[in-house]
Amino acid sequence: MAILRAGPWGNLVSPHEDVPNDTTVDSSYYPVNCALDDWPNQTWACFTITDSGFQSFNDEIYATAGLGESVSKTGDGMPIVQFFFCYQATNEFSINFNWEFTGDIDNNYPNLSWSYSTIDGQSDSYFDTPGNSGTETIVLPATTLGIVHTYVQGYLLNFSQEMTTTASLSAP
Amino acid sequence: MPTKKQTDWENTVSKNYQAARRESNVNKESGGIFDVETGYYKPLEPNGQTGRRNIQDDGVDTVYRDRALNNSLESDGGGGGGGVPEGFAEETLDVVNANNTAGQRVFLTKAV
Repeated sequence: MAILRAGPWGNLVSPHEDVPNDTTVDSSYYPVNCALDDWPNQTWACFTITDSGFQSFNDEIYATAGLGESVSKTGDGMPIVQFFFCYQATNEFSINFNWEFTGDIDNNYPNLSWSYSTIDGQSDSYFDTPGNSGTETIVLPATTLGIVHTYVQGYLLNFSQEMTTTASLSAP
Repeated sequence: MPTKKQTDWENTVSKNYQAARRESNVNKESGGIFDVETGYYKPLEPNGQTGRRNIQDDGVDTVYRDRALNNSLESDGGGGGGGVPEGFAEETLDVVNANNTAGQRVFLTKAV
């Protein structure tokens, strides 16, 4: 059975929000996608946050990215790339979370995680200390509305070194 | 190549067929009886006491008969008839199809 569209942006508490006037500022609402497909008038998108990992820097950059689009953050210690999106799906589907660390990464101790929750109470999460590149396939359940968060962060012991964290979401 | 006489005959047959079909449709929606020999609906037989053939002859339900006629004419044109019910509006809305693709459906909506 078909699912009526939510969005175009939203979250589990408020599924029907307009697209923000400015998508480069912090938001608690995210694009609502149709599984891996584009809506007739809205291409697949996720909300992205990148920052250096140092809270005191207040250097978060907010933006949106498409399916398969790489997002990078370069920093001298622990650059972070995060993705947020909502989805609707009539069937279970998979999405790939890809990451790579480049630069002075000889002493990199990164961390990676993902999680999802659905409006009907389904949820799952994952944490890992990954290698310097890879792909994690996330299986998402059918739901009238779900929310997904992915996080990947490099971590250099020597903060005088510089590295780049790159990540993307893509179709398997 | 058909002669003019043949063409005229074919056109006449076609018109007669369409007229018969239209009348059959009207009779069907007016509560007529299906005639197995002709394959068409025929009007009710006149009532023995009143001499009336069916309700529209009583002058009671002319609206119903007009509607039946309109439906018949519309269906002859291939349009399907009906239209949007009063108080409702057609809206095209996005949906997630059964195969996880995005699609659109036309809904009849009404403010509540």
